[in-house]
Amino acid sequence: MRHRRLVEILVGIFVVAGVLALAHLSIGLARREVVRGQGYTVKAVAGVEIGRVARIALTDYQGEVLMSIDGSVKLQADSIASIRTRGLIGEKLIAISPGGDDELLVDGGAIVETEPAVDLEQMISKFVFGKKD
Amino acid sequence: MLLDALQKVGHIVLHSLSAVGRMGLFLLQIVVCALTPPWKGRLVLNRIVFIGTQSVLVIALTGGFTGMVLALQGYHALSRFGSDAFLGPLVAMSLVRELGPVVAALMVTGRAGSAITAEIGIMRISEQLDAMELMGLNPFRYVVVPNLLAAMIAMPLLTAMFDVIGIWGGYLIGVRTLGMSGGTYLAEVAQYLEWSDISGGIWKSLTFGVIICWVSCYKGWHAGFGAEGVSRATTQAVVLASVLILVWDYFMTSVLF
Amino acid sequence: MDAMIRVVDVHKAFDEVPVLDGVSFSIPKGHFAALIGRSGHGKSVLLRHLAGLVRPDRGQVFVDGEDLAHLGGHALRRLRRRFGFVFQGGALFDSMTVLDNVAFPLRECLRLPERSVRERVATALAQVGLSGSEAKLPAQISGGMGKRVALARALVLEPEILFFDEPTTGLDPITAQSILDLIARCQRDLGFTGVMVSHQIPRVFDITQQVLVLHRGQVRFDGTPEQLRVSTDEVILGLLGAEDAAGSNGRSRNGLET
Repeated sequence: MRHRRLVEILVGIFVVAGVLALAHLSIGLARREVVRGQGYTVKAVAGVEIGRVARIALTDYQGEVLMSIDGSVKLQADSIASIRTRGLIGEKLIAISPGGDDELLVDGGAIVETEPAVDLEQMISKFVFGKKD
Repeated sequence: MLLDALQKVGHIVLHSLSAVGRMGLFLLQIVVCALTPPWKGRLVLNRIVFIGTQSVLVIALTGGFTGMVLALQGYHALSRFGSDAFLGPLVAMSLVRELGPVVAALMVTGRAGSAITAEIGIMRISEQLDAMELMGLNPFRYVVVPNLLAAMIAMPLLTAMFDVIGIWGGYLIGVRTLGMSGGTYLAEVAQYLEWSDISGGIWKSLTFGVIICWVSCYKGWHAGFGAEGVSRATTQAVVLASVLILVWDYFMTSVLF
Repeated sequence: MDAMIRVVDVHKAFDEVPVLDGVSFSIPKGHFAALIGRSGHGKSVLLRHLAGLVRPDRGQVFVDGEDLAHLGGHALRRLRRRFGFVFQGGALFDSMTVLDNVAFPLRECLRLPERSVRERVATALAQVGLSGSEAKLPAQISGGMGKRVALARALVLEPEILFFDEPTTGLDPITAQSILDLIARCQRDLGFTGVMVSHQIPRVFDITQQVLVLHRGQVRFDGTPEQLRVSTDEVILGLLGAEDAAGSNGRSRNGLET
């Protein structure tokens, strides 16, 4: 009987430790909401993450990016959204620079001031071939 | 001369094909028994202690050092490109997606798989399996299925422990020895590590658990005569299980990620 | 008389080497038969056929009128619960105590409540003279005690048929004799049909009613011990002579075989 109890205790310790490790891995270290699914790009004001890109779609030959932004962040209507790269070869993100408008963006509103991604090759060719274009 | 050589090739091919077939049938038999009552819960608990709890120490050691060496090597490679901020993700992704499941499985193969083969092999040669059979009981349910269920429960948990300890081992080296900022390490890990990476690793470890149990039980079940037969079966089980884990890992990776 | 075991023209080959080559005989209900012959002439293989552990390549094995070769897994398992089998090495489960070993078939096959399990285990251990050894592990007991435990485990389900595969192998002559006496007493008390592979010639003749001599995969002799003793067949004479010579050395020559 004592043997049985010992086995059960050992199994209990093992399973609890394993589940804790798994929880720490997925919630503590990865800090991703398991239920809400994942966003793929972050956006930042002054380098601080304020939300996620929810969806990217093509409408009338123009790219449309649906972003879900932290409700506590107030963005002016003429804020500028630009596609940037983290570091030299990192992933893409959308950086938002605040504008000067009195009007704030509301839920469902759109940012019209945009800036395309910087193309590294174009930049290099500009640099190498001088004023060619 | 040529015909002899061809015949030899044919013989080897047929021989290995029938071995593969027997192993496949064995797996099928395990699965059928695992899915139908009666289950031996008490035996499963015993096996979880054996495969899981008793492997924790070796998993912690290997996990910690794997993470540490990854950080050491990764740091030197990354700092050449000025991207040493990516050390955290490098360590975490390598561990969670590949090294955690694979190395943990290899350790469990060496520690528990070999013991399972030897145990079943000895039960075979000392006629304990026949004795069960003659009591009208199916020895599969007593010596094979509990191992399978226990391995499927224990492997993902061991892998999660391996990952966590490895990531913190990398943190130790990156932050304490190489002078990174701790915030960068953890923030970048959080940035890049997705639930899909973690779940992929967990799925892998689950299938590795099945492979370990399947191969080591099969080899023990069909152990040859005497001590020599058991020792040969044990060696074969460890080698075959390790190879199968690495090959299967490749296929899992190409499907999962 | 009703035949409990009937074997009809059984053939079996391993890797194309014939081991059994047309074996036929029958054993009446309640009889105790000895299966003797030189090593490697198929005795153990034949015994395994009778228990349904091995299927014949050709021929039939009937136990209580049912053909073992054509029974499915489930029916075979049900029939086997009427069997007991004492293996050469005892085949005790070495991770379990003596109590758990003997209780194993009761708990797993009959699912008896723990109280009656203990009662029946105590009875069985008393029958083989091992009361009080319940808590020991197989590694902690002697070979003779191991055989007794194996016998108790085989008896505990009250089988109608008991098979013995060289139950005295590896024991000293005195212990071997005591095991044989024990088997004989149990057989008298419980009345099971028995088949024993043995090298304990001629002592085994005292406890059996029928002797089968297996030679080169065939039944060379089938009769009572008395008939065997007056046989002039050279194989049998050789068998008896060899064993007598070995017996006078104070040990069983074949007892050292595995």
